[in-house]
Amino acid sequence: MVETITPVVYGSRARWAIAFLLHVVGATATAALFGAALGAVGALLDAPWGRAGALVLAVAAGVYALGELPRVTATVPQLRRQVPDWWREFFSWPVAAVLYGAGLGVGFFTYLSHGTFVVVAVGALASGDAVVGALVVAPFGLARGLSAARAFGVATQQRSQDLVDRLAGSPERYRSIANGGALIAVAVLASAAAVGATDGWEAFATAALALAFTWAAVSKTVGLGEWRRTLAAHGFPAGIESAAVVGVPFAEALVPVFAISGWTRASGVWALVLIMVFTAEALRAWGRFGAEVPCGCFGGREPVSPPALLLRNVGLAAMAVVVVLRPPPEQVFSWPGWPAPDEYLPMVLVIAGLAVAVSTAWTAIRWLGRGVRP
Amino acid sequence: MLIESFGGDVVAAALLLALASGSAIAGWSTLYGP
Repeated sequence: MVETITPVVYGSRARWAIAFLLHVVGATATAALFGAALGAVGALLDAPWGRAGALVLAVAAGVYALGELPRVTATVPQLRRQVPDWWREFFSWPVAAVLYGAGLGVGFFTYLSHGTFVVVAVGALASGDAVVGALVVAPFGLARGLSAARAFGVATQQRSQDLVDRLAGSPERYRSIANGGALIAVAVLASAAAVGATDGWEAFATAALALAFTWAAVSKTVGLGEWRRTLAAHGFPAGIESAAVVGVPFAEALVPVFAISGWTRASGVWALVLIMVFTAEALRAWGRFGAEVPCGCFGGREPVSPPALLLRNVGLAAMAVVVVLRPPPEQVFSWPGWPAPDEYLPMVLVIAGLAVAVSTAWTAIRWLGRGVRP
Repeated sequence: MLIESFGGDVVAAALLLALASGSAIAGWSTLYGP
């Protein structure tokens, strides 16, 4: 990571200093935006979730604190991508410096060797406040950007490589102690906050169910090729298979849509229906093709063992039952009403503009990731 | 006002501070990765 922002890349120390500042700004800004987005999503899902939210944060911090112990591993969700090398050849150096910073700010797209950032993200989500989310996640980008200052003295390609090797080979002990200490502090303080808070379990179950189904829908949509191959392995008739490609993620997306619209009963009932259909299909597929059939539930094509999948579905169904039985909350988000006749044209223009913006952003992200020159 | 998300008292303020510190430590730790 650090080799993208060394003086040897930027020619002179003065130019490197400007590039370094831009790098820090890029990393901090994207981290703050990511945190704000998490807080805003939390707000849509009725966070903060009282005692439930504080306890979930405490448990997450506790689990990852244990993961810092020698010979104990706690899986950290991450995409393990590296910022592309070609950015610095294709873009002007100030743009490249900002992009490299921006590419690192979200954290989960790159490598994470400690679970601390996961816990911070859970905290931002559970706060239910975009400003709090931005404030707790921004330090990640700031520190990540500032840490590139270690490259200050690097004047040759060889020294750049030496620095990378030295950093990669340095003992993990101090990092584990620092991360473990922060995680223990969060676990203890979140537990203390849980003592002073009340319930929130119903709101948390609604949010967890909505997030699980959002994850399921998004993972299938983003990894459409894998999802198609997963469906092909289930041996459906052609018509059902092609309908399921779009139909399943669409049906899953209705669960969070109902939840944020305040229709929690509909969200819970629909989730229960989907869980039953998916479980029945898993049982049919195992019976016909064996346990190696990929489930594709949350993306990926790795088969999930039948007991694990059934246990997961029972857990989701239990949450769905809680969501069905809870009294519906106050509406957090209201959908716009049907437009008046003189608003049709503006509506069409806004929808078309949004579609073009999303398509452009999607294409730009794919190009930036794959090194496609426009 | 900001700390009301986590209960609005001294514990909530300390929790926010711990999360922000953990965030900075997590960012610094990535320097040693690929």
